[in-house]
Amino acid sequence: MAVPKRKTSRSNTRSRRSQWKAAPVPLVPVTVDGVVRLVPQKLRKAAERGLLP
Amino acid sequence: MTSQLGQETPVARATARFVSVTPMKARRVVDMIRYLPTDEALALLRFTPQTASEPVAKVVASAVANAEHNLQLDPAALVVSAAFVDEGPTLKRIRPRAQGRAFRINKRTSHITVEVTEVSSSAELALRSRKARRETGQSGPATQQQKSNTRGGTR
Repeated sequence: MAVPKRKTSRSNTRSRRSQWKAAPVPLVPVTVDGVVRLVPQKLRKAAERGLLP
Repeated sequence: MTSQLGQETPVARATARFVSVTPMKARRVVDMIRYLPTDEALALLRFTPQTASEPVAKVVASAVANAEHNLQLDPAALVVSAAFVDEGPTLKRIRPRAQGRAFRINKRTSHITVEVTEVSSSAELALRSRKARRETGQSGPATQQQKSNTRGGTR
């Protein structure tokens, strides 16, 4: 089994962790029954058909 | 703690303590919603795939409810003025391994805090919110209060 030979430096650890970000889902406004709500682009059709709770 | 939008603006806050999410994972979600309008933040949290978005969404909703009920603020004009995750107590568990050895399992917990404040004009929001700046075509980072950069030593 591969085993790390050296301790990872604090700098390398922090550089790696600062890159670990979540990408926000792009939301689009959809009007259903006169109410505007934000849904992801992929769920737009479903929201327009009233499938989203 | 004072709000980052100024001292005189009323700030509503909510804290969830001892949430069984690691602070690293919770911070990853919290970093997405900072300075967003609360309705956008709640919509975003609803559709993000990260598990930590569920407890964070509850805290944001609670802060909005606090602002509405305790401070009579307009829920449509609220923005997340501060959001941070502190580390709670770690629950230690033992994983038995071969040859009588034992490995430690750290079950970390988080304290999630969200502060919301009312922003009256969209210009004020544009000054503070990165997203609003992007949408109005202004470049550069949003101006935040100057903090001394010496936390954790000067070196």
